[in-house]
Amino acid sequence: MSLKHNSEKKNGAGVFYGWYVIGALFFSMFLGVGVRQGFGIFVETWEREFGVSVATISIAASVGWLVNGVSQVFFGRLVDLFGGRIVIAIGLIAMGIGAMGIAAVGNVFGLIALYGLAVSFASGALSGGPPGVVAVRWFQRNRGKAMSLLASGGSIGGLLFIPFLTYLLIWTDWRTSWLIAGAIILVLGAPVVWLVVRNDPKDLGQTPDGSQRGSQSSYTGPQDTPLEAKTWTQPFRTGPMWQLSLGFLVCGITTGSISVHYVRWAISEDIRPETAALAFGLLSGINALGVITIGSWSDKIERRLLLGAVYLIRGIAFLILILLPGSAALWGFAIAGGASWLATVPLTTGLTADVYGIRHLGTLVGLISMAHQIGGALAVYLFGLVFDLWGTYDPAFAAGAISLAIAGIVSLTIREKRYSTRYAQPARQPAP
Amino acid sequence: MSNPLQILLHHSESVDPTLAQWIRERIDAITGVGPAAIVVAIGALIVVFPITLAWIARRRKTTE
Repeated sequence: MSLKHNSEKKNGAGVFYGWYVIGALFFSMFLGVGVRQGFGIFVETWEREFGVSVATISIAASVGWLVNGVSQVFFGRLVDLFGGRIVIAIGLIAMGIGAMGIAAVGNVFGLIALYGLAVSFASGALSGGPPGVVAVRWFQRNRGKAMSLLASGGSIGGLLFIPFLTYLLIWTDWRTSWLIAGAIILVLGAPVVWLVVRNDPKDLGQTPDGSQRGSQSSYTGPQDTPLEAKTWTQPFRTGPMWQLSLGFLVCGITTGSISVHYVRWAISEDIRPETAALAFGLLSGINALGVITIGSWSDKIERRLLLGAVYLIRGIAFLILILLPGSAALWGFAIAGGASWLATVPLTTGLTADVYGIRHLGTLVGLISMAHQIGGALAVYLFGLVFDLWGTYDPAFAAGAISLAIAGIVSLTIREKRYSTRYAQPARQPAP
Repeated sequence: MSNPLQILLHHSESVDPTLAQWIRERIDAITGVGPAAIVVAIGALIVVFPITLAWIARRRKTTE
């Protein structure tokens, strides 16, 4: 058995405890994303129940998008101050109560207050930032793999929770469905996070990755890199923060717009909505596999190279939409887009942690995520505007491809080997 | 120009209704069972995973 493997096992019998932490955080993301995505299932029911238009109900969803973006900064700061365990557990309790409260709403204003404000705000504690901050404390060598497993919790949450809620709605009614969804978060989500998650491996006398101190493969402890953030504002005076934020803004623009306009584009190309939905489903499935694969690679290859490649591949996917005929474009985009869809999340969070350290990571990831949400909200509107003005999405897709090419090049130019803790030399011990 | 809120109908944070309908039809076609059975099956997965995880993790901590 190799020294490296041996040292990991010796830290405690069996599986390294960090993987249990990832399991619990995976479940919190599974619930958070699953419940939020489930909103779409109830739109028609609420339209009939409340006697309002779909557009009015969609206010709750759009308010929720922006509130979630802002709350990620808030929760990120709290995680930096108090640790992820308490923040994520309280977020789950608040989200569970909010989801159960939706069962009692009698009009669209209640929906906006509870879904758009309360649930969406609380879900900021379960979005990528706070769980990601806990994960990076537990993993250094396997950080990419751990972060990608965490991110896949959102994908799998969508894949499992949406059918669950769909059939729950058919079997019971919308109020009971939200009551049960809220109860699951409250009774299962919050306790499992509280029981399993620890903020830091030191809390259990362990080290990141389960390595033993002093062994050849051991974790050498936090190291000051040239850009180690002493305050949360400091990184904004450096290049990588802006490079990562720009990339994630473009990520929001290109994922937000496609999520909303993909099916509409297909219909405009005379493709049946069911076929477009199937292609979008394929994209979501490839996405879960893509994020785990790329995340694992990122522990062996410079993350900036993979991040740049992911943006460039997505740029090619956008070009496919313009250059190929309808059906070929539909499936070509589903494959190329799916492979690059979610992989930006673990790469961006991992790189932020590698460059700026973990002291203010929650706040920094929260701010980068806010750029993502703002980009997405703007793009959804602008892509629709382009289609209304010109009757085609091609100019918008071209803008998307150009912005992705820029994001790819900018990501590739991040000086990871100079700034990342992964490549930093261990600090010399002072002479006795 | 259409109402901007109309554009936000298929919100990315919320499942596309067409996709949800498609998923439902496929599950119906494959399983051929009623909604209660599917809810119980998926619900069991959702309940079993965290309980098993918490049990194993607690056991692991107490044996160290």
